[in-house]
Amino acid sequence: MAENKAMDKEDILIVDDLHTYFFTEDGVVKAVDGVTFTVRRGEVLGLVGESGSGKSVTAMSILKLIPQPPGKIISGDVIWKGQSILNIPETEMRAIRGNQIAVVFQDPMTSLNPVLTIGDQIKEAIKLHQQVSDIEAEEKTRTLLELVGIPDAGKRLKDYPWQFSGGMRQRVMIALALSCNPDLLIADEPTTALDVTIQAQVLDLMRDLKNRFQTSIILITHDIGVIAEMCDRVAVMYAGNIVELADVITIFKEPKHPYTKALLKAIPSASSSRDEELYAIPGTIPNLINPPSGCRFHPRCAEARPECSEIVPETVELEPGHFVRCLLYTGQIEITK
Amino acid sequence: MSSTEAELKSSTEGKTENGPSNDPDVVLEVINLRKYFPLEAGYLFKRKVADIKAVDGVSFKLRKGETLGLVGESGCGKSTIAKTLTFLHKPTAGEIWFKGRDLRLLSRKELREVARDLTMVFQDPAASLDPRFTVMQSILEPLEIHNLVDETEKYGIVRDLLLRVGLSPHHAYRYPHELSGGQQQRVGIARALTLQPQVIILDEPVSALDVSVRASIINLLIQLQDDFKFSYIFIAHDLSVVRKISHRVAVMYLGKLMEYGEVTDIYDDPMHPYTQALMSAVPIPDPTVKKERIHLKGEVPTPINPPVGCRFCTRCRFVRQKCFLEEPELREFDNGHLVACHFAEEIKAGTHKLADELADAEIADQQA
Repeated sequence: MAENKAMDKEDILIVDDLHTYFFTEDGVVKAVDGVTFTVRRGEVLGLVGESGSGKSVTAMSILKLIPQPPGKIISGDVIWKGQSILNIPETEMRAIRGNQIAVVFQDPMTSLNPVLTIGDQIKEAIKLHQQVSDIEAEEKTRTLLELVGIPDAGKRLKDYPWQFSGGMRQRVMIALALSCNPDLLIADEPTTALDVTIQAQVLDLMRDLKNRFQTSIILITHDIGVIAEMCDRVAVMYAGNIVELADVITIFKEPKHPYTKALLKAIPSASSSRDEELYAIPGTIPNLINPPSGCRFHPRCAEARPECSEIVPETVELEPGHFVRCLLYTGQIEITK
Repeated sequence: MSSTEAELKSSTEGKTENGPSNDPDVVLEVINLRKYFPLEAGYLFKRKVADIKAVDGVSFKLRKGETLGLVGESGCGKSTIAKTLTFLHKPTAGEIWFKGRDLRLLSRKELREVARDLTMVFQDPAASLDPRFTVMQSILEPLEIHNLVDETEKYGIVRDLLLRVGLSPHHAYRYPHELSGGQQQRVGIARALTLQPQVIILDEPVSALDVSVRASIINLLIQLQDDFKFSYIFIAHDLSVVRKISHRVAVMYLGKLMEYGEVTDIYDDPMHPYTQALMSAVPIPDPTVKKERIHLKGEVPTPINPPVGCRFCTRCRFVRQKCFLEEPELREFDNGHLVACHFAEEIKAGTHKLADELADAEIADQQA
């Protein structure tokens, strides 16, 4: 696609026409069905969409962490620093995972080992990927905990996960993810389980890391406010497709896809009064075993035309860097007002 | 007798002393409500070693047809208030006046009667519906409990309620697992409406829902309130949703009210340093707006041993010595806007220096 041809030097990750399906008893779930995007060095790319839109499956596909069976990457490619990672053996993948690409998940309690101290868990990651002595690893662990703003880091190394509060645990997760200076951090709903004031602290921390180490971040969230604050570019996902991708200002100020527009209208703004009805998208998220024909959003779309149920829209680049997947813009049908 | 028991006695005996206000618009009034949970220790013989002060002296009034938003971070006691009001927890002390009666003095039978007018909608719609009940059974269950089922009318009641919450009558025979999350929450709301209550307590009713579905549930709740003049107590951690639906907002921190007032007062002109920090932390869905954020230091102290003076003193950026020693009262500023801060006027006027600035100035003085 157009985006790949204009491959920049600074693109460290290219996801090209990725299809990840799950083969279940009920049928084939087309969780990710043709997703294309790039991540540049030092940028925050937001993946936004409702539950079941394929955000997390996309992230897991990049890391080759899709449980197989039932899941399988059917086609497409993931290119990490010029090398396709879909064909490399698991042993090499392990060297990339955690070392070059790190992940932070939503619930820090389930991603930490409850019977190991925080210090041991971070030390383990450091020693696995780097040739360092025990003392050096411990020293590095302490610096990391200080970096993410945990007070009294030297003492807290010996604490277990349950002795930390939710916000502190998420900081530990970020410290763990940063232990090997990754080039890419995938943050999957990193602040969804946290209170607003703690969320603000964790977001500040991530922004600071990006500025200091030029770490690229893929930020997966359904919170539009977090997207607006954090991201440089945004990809809006719906039912396994990216429906719109652009820089953050364009997404918020000049959204083109009817789904993006609907999503922005559905959140209460500071100025909207109580009597103003919020825009609610009719219907529900489609079943991905049998997704709607044509454009997957057409049954819920306010601007749908008869052709939308028949023709699958292509992705077009409206302006440099602004991609939309909607028949209203692709030129596949004639638009008469 | 522990101090809390003594307090409990005094508050029940001396009810004429406090009593509810005479405002006929007020449907529910809570006076000095406390809920302590015992912290137990010991292996064989459990003994109480301390109290967890989840709610520690909260008073507010709920008016007819009005929504009171309860906001605050996790652990501040907002859900405990909801459960205490519905008697899922027995309050430790304080008064809950509803329909002219103090709920704490009622017998179980009388309470059950009152419960008809005070219902609740929970966060997780899938968990709060019985998976073996059809939608119709779930909706009719409250009527059965109160022996109000009229065999000839019950189909009509279910049909009306389903239409009212935006479902269709054929959903009556579905089981919860056949419904989407939004539809399940609509059933949860229908169930709360069955007994035609006066007050509905909504504990995080939209937190588990997706953005587009959330919008339709918020619209539904506002619509129902406009039509039937229900009073809502709306608990949510999403501050933009609370702003949308509430008339008045109470900000809680560590079991106490910090600020209470009309929604525009709280959101546009917060006076308490905690409310100011909370509001500044909310992300704005507009990338062109960059707002200044107030950083809160440290963590919420434990409710077992909360700070002696102001609850917020350990994290406040305007803190003074007085804050550690004296507990601030809720004081009324213009028109029902209550703030529990010793220095609210000075902070509003901008004459009150930050604690850090003050420290710097002192050092400079000493050096001079």
